Formats: sequence, structure tokens, C-alpha cells
Amino acid sequence: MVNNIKVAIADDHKIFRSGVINTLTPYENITVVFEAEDGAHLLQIMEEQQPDVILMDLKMPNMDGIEATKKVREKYANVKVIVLTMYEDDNFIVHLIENGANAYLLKNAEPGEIYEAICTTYEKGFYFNENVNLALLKKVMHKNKQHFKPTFRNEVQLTDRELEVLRLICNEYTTQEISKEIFLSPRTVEGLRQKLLEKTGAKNIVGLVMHAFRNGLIE
Amino acid sequence: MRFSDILIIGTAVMLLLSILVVVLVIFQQKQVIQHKLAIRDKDLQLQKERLLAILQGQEQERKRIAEDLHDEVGAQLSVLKLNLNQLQPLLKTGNGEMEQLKETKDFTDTIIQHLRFISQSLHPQALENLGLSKALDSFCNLMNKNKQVKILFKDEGGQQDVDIEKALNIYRVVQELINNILKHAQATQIEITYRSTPNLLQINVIDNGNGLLLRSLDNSRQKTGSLGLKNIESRLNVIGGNIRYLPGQNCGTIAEIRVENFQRPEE
Repeated sequence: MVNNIKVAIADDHKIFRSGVINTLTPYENITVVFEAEDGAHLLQIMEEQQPDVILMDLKMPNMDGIEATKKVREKYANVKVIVLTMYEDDNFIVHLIENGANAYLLKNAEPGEIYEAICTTYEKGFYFNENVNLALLKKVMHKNKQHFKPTFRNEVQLTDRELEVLRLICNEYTTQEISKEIFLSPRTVEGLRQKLLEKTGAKNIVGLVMHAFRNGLIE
Repeated sequence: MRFSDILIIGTAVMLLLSILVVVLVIFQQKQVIQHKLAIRDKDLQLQKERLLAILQGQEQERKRIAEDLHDEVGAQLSVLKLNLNQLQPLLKTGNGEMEQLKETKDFTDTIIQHLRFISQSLHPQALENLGLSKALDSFCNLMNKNKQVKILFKDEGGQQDVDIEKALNIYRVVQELINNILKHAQATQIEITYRSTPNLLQINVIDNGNGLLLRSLDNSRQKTGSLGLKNIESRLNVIGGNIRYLPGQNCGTIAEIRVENFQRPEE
């Protein structure tokens, strides 16, 4: 068990802050070091002292949790942010994770999960539950569908032939099958496969497929 | 001067006078018509402004209720859930106390879920924070949860920011359209495509239903009964957009919403 994690809570509802503090009291390795009423208040206190983990509400007056998460990420790279909100919305989840949140929980989460999220983000840097995983997965699939353009952004230029082979590899074609499909000798296909590995900098076929996936080559 | 001369001059004068009278009358009529037109224009303008004010008032009120529900009642319910959790270690076991507590907790979750649904239907929070496209996507996710219909949302590109006032109206139009499809079209699938270029925002709502949306549109034009489709037209009217309904390829209806000059003014 990790000892003494310093936790801060930013939420504009006092009653909710007290509720969370009561919930966390039984866990001896967690200390709530301060409460903030909104994002601006949080950043003001953080000039003086920094917690390890922040439980961050999204909707707050003065400065909301989205803005505050960005600011915390800019200024304090090591402080972890766990979003704790009423908003159950995939687009919010993706947006917050993209902007530096380390976890995203709903306010009606079980106390055990809040505790686990605090420990895991502190130790491992992030805690993704099923909600977050699904939202991120959907986003990745969606992105691939939308940018179905056979170009590699990071300066990897592939020829049409190479792209064709890459796509067939992604569709689980063997060298033999590829050579039949595009009327080239197996030797040439093998050469193209090597060339692809070289160009993308992948170490093996799995790396190559990952590369294709990340760059939106798989439908 | 001969009598005939006098007659000719007299006739000419009379003729001139009568022409003058006719010209004057026409001129006056024209002025009256112009005046009437001006009044009607003003009336229309006034009507449009009144409609805008009503819509804005309605939206403000919805937003207030949504936020009160979501933020205040939501926070209180979350605390209730936390408190229920704290009861757990204090319970005696054996007489079904644990089960009862779990049921109560689950029930609280259900209430919170309902609350989320109501408040998001009243006012889409994502609209202000993430923009129209994301808000529509979230709306589809929300609708897909109750399984009546499968809605697919496709953003086909365009990064232009939509003016927030117009975005809210467009959001409501799509919402209303979906409601109408669910009510009348018996569709099982709806596809929404979102495309924006610097000058034009186009959203297509395609359903695979019975095409009744077209007929109910005709009906609503004839009588004042169907508020939903009327609402769609007046909202689009206010923001200078338009909507067309076309029969789908095999079945169903394609609704094409187009709004020009939709972009947020640069600050």
C-alpha cells in the first residue's frame, strides 16, 4: 500500500466536498489536504502547496474544471487530476483525457472506485475504467473512419503498391495470398514487406499494423 | 374665335384635367400601397423579433432548470449515495439488510440516471463546451441508450465554430426532427451527417422509415395542428436557414438542413 497520498478537492458544493471527505476518512493512506470552491481558488491555493491528486468537478463558477485541468497540467506536470463529475458523456471524457486528466469518474461512483482511482493514478499515472475505455475506443474507431486517407502524417511516404500490400497485411493476408491478389511474385511481396518495415520503423508485423491503425489506414 | 375653336380648347383642357386627376389618383394609390407594405414589413419584423424573444426566453428558462436539476439536485443525490455507502459497515447482517441497502443504492443510481437524461434533454451542456458537432453526437449517444432507434452520427469534416445562438437553434431543429421521426415514421435507423464549409453548414437527417414525415409535413402546412414541424421552420427562419424534405432512396425520408453565415463572429 502506498503511504500518505495528499488529495485536494475542487467542487463548488460544500455538501459534496464533505461527503467525499467522509468517504475517504477510513482509508488511512489518504489525507485530504485542502478543499477549493472553484478552479481559480484551486490554482490560488496551489501556489502555496501542491497535492498529489486532485478530485476535480467540471461545472464550477469562475473557472470550470476543464480550464482548471488544462492549467494544472501546464503548471504542475506531476499532479494527477481525477475528474469527478455528474456529466456522463463520451465527448466530455475524451476531451478531458486529451487535455490532461488522468481519470474520469462519475459522482455516483462507489467509494471503493474513488479510492482505487486515487491510488492507481498516484502510482501508475492514470486510471481508466470501462466508461473511459469505451469512450476512447469509440473515438479511435471514429477517427480512422473519418480520416481514411492513405497518407502517413509523420513524414513516411509510401507508394501505392506499398499501401496496397500494407492494407492486405492488415486484413490478415499471407505473402502467398498477397502475391496472388496483386499479381506479383512472392519474392517481390516479401521485398515490399521489408521496405514497409524499414519505412515505418516498425520492428515486426504487429508494429506495422499498429502504425497503419494509428494513421487511419484500416477501415 | 370660332365656336369650334372654343370647343377644341375646352375639350383639351378637360382632357388634361382628367389625365391629371387620374395621375393623382394613381400616385395616391401607390403611396397608400407603399405605406401598407411598409406597415406589413414592420409587422413581420416585429413578429420575428417577438418569436426570437420567446425562443430565447424559453431557452434561458430551460437552461436554468437543467442546471438547477443537474448541479443542485444531482450533487445532493450524489451525497445521498455516499452516505448510503457509509451505512454499509454499520449494518447487522443476516436479515437482508445488505440487500436492502444495495437496492436503495441502485435506486439512487437510477434516479441520478433519470436526472441526467432530463437535464441533458432540457439543455445540452456539451454545446457550450465542445461545440455543435460534439453536442449532436452526445445527443445521439443519449438517444441510443433507450434503444428505440439506432442513430448514427457522422461528422464529415469542417472545423468552423458555429455561432452559439444559431448552434442551439440547429440543435433543437435536429432534436425536433428526431422526435417527429420517432413519432410518425416508424424508423429503426437514423443517420445524421454533419458537414461544414466556410459558407455553408449542412446537416442531413436520413431515416429508413415509412416516409410519413413528408405527409405529416404537408398536413402541418395545411392546419396548425403539428407544432413540431412548425417549430422547425420558425427556428430556421429566425437564423436564416432552410430545410428540404426528400424521399429516401428505398424508403424513408431525407431531411436537408442548410444554414449559411453560421460562423461565430471573430473576436
